[in-house]
Amino acid sequence: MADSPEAIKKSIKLYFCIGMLLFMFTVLTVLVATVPALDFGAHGFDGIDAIIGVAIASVKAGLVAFIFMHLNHEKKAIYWIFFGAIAFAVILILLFALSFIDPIIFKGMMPDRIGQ
Amino acid sequence: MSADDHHDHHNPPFWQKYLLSTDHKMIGMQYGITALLFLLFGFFLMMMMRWSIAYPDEPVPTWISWVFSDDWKARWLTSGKVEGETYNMFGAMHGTIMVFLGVVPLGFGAFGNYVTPLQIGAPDMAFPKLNCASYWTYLVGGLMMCGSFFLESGSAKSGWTNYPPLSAFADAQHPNQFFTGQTQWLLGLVMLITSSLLGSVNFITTIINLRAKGMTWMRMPFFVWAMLVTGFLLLLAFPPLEVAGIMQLVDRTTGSSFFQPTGLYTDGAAADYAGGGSPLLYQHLFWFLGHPEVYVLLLPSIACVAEIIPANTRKPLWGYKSMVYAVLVLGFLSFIVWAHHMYLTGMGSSVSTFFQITTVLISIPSVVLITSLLISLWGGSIRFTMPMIWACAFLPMFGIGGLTGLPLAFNLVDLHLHDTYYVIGHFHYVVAPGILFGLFAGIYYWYPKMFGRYMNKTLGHFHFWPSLIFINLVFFPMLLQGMAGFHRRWYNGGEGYLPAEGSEDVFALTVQEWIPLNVLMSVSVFCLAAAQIPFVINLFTAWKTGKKVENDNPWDATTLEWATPTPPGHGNFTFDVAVYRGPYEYSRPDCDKDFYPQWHEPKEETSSDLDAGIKPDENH
Amino acid sequence: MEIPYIVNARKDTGLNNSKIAIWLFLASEVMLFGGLFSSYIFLRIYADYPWPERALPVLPGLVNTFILIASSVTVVFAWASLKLLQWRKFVGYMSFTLVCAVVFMVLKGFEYNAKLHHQSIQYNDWTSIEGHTHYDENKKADNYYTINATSVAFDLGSYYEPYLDTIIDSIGNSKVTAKSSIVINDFDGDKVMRIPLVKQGEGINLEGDDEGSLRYILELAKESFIESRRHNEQVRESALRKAWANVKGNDDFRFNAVDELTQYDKAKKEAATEEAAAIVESGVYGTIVPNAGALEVVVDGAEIKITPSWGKMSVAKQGEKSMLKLKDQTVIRGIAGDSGISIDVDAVDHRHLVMKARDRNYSQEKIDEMIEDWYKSLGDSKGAEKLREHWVSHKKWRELWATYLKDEYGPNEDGEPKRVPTDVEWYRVTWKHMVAYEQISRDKDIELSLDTVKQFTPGMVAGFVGANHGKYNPVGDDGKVKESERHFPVIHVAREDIRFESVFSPKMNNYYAIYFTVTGLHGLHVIGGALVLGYYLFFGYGMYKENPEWLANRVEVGGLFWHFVDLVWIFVFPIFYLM
Repeated sequence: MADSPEAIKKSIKLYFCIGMLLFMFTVLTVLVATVPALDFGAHGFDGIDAIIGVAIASVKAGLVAFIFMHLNHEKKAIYWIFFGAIAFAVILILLFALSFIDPIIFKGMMPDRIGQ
Repeated sequence: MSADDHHDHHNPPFWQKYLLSTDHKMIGMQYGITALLFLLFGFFLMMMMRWSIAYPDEPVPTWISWVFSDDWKARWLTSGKVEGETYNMFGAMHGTIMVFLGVVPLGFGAFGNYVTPLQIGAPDMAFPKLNCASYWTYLVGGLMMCGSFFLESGSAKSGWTNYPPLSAFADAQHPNQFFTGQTQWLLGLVMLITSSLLGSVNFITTIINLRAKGMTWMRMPFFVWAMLVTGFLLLLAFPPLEVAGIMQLVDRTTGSSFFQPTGLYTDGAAADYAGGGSPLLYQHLFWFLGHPEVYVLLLPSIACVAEIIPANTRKPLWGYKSMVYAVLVLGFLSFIVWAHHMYLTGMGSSVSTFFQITTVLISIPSVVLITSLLISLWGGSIRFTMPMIWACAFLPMFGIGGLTGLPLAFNLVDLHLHDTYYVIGHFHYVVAPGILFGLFAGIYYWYPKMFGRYMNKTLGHFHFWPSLIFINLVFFPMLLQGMAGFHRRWYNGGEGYLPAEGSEDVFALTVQEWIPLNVLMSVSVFCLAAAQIPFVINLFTAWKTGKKVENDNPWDATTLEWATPTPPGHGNFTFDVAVYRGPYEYSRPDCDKDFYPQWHEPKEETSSDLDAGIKPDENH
Repeated sequence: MEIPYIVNARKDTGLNNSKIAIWLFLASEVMLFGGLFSSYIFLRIYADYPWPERALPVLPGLVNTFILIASSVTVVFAWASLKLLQWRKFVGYMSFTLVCAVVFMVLKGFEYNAKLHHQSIQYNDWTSIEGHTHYDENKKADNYYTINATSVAFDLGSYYEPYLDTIIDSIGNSKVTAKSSIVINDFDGDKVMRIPLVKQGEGINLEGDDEGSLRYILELAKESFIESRRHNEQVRESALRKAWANVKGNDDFRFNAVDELTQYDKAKKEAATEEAAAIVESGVYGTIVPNAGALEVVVDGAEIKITPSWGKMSVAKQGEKSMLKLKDQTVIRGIAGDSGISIDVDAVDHRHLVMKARDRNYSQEKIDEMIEDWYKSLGDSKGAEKLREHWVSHKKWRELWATYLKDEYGPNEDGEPKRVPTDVEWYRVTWKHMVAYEQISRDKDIELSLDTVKQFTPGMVAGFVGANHGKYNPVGDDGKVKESERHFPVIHVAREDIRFESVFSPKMNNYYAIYFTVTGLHGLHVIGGALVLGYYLFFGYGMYKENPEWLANRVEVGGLFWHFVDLVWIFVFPIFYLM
């Protein structure tokens, strides 16, 4: 990464801007979730809101990872390690979420009872 | 690193040298001895279980049960017999000890620690203090688990897989949840995971950054590759289990219900849980570790064998590159096969199919590995040294283990075989005569480097042949019983299912037909235990009385660990290590000796010059 | 010996050791939080209860997000200052980071505290109410099983001291007598002496642990019980051994492998068992001594209060004959007292009931009727009256709201309204609604409309960490809620009406369980990161003097961890607070 004092001074400005950007995205994500006019999809929380929320969070996470954590100019080994882990985490999430699609014997998680 | 760096002339005090040592070799030996002791303990528990299976109505003979105190026996051995709850305790702890406290620390902790830095030409691990911390967290975690035998609740009883809701209710009746076997098991597990994470970070960093000059990726011995992959498996597969452990701890301490579905009843009343959780979630998290864990067990062992075979056939490892790629593919695939342990959970059929496919796929790299090793024997001038005999036994034994696994990979067949002794037979073939034989081979192979003396050959044979025979007599009948439908958790070996007089119940009659095998297996287990005695004697006496090694490279091997003094001092190497060629240069026609070590400078030379670079350090 | 590449990077990999190590560590952290988030998703999509979506107060989460982002910025600033050799700036930025960490944890503490003092009660028909329970003089929530005890039986193998102390304290000055004579065994080698301790009907002293006191008697009895158990098992074991030796001997048994392998001799086993029993009876190996497992005392109806998590009550209805079985197997018998909970209700939630009813394909009319039935079942206390009033207001409000959405967003192609109120809006009366309805009902001039409800709904700040009882249920000088300013009606819930009750802890449901687990683990990471960064701040100067690059590297590594903690929170915030 850039090690000369000038480059570092320059990147300090960048860090500040990214910080501001992160603040703005945070406000945006709250607005999307709370202001009715910005509510996409059906009224209230639904899949689209989830996608938007996670997308904004991913952008923010990307900014943190690439700028603050210097992933924008990192060595190859680091990319393999970190993105490998992220790939496995995604696999984990997907396969967990899919466990009950196309069920063999599945009606709700358990036979339901109304206690009356 | 300069040549005299390793002369540390001050003598550190005992605790610093042997207990809080930061030297990778000492830590490796600590791991090794601790793991062997745990293995012995796990074996002992298993003998109790096998007694109960074969002779469920007889009191445990005094030569097994003498270790227990009278109060403990009064609590847990009713009339001197192993009862169901006690059996479950032994079963759960046998599995846990063997997997988490025995084989992994022996393979990864002991061999990995001792051999890896030597083979890549590093002075030590990248983070010696972390290495020490890793050992001590492991030991504390292990002792926590085993110490729970002395608690009022006894130790964990829910199987080594610790499935909820069984494990969720286990020990729930104890007012002080902290001092229960189940909680201690979970805490111990979290400690072990922490230890493994510290270890794997250390290993991977060492392998990436501390390789000697000239040690390129494709010049690394297969052992190092296997350790690298194992490191990644531990690093990435263990955290989800840690999550499961933490979630179950939360369940136990706060009464939440991550893994308890709605509508559970205990004690004739609705359980005081919110419900809404799922045991399947636990199984997902557990097996996401559980399956890579199989390869964590296997790879160090197969790595030992891959070092021993070339050195004892005097020819290069066949298909080194394909083995490297195979082990990488294996590492990757092992992360996406886990749910083949869960076909019977009611998971969706598409997901089952996906896992069935990946499971069948993963047999390809496994077969590449084992076939390469097998072909390596072809045309070699085999020296049947002690390590080689074990390594040769590893191949067919692991082969049986692997092949018996194939039927289990298929959804439909698994419906029948799930939770039977077939499964037990299958994975014990993999782990006991497979992996453990490979690790025994490793012990016999590197012992001369560790202590400067060979292990006794006669005792070795007295160890090997009975072990080979009896271990097969233990595990092969399991496959038969399993196919007959014997369930893996019968504490009385199926006695409860015997037919009544004149009964025509097919299942009961089958049980009656196959139940006598229990006696054969149990007797074999006791003989197998006896067969380990020569090994224990050998391990401790060879240290003082074994035949001394002739030089620093007693097996005429090519990899870097044989370039060190015997035993290696602090800092390992006495000269500037550089690597000039691949790891298995045996019987090269252009070389007058039948091995061409990695560290020999390539130049026109006579054979006596060849040894110039590896003079043992006189001052040592 | 020196480990290479501690500070400087290795040429071919371009990395130093700690850089690789921290990224490996972060990779495993990715899997850790990956496991947690996948559990969250799994629990959520397969939940069989109404998921409390958007249930957390947003403001503290939002503020915490700002704090963490700010600290992330200052931590890179601190690193850059080190690179530029500006020690004082480094100290400034790093201190700010640490202050952020502290503020973050303090806010977290407020949030947790509010949750752990907020009670939820689920009725038998799956309707839930939420609110604050009343507290007794010891500041403990007034939530007990109460029983007027006639007898207490202690299990000698497992009675638990803290339970015992509570029971003794509760019984207080009442008279306690032995239910039957208590005799203990004293072992002298194989000889057993029977020592009478207490006669039937004799009074037992509850105070202290001197001779004759309950604690003393229990201790002796426990010791004797364990000794007797040991003795008895030894007798049984040696009898069984003898019997087996006989059985095998009678068959001329010499480990006949073929015989053992081909047949499974049930008869042999039965013979051995029978013979063992006979040997025990004949007393060849000593006799079995009585080892009574429990010690029972008679109590004259003293009121005993037990925390619900300690055990189970067979019948909770006041005045009925009941039995309380504690986890340590202590059994208290007697007449059930008032085990109900008084609660200042700040929310009523019918969603679970609706969900269960829909699972059974009940019609909408039937569902509405079930809800009304619940309100009727509350009785005619003032609080119940108030809750019914609020429900009427809520029904009015939700109709208005549905009409508004229909008019505002119009119908879709099927002619159905594009937007309809959510189940939360339809079936849950939140604390903010309650405040608004209450205020509106107080003023005869104000008509309930969307605008007036909105006008009287408390804002984000008033409900910083949730229902604000301090403001809307203010407590007077006498320690009681001022009835004139009460917004959250109080009702008394009988224990037998309760299906499940819990504070908003992990126990309440899996949403709060995973919330506490994830934020708790994240909090631990914050603390850990702060400790590491604090170490560099307070003890880094030596390192800095020796080699500034070294400290800069270390701060970079610590900073990477800190950024990762921030990165996790970036996902935690929307997923838990906004979805």
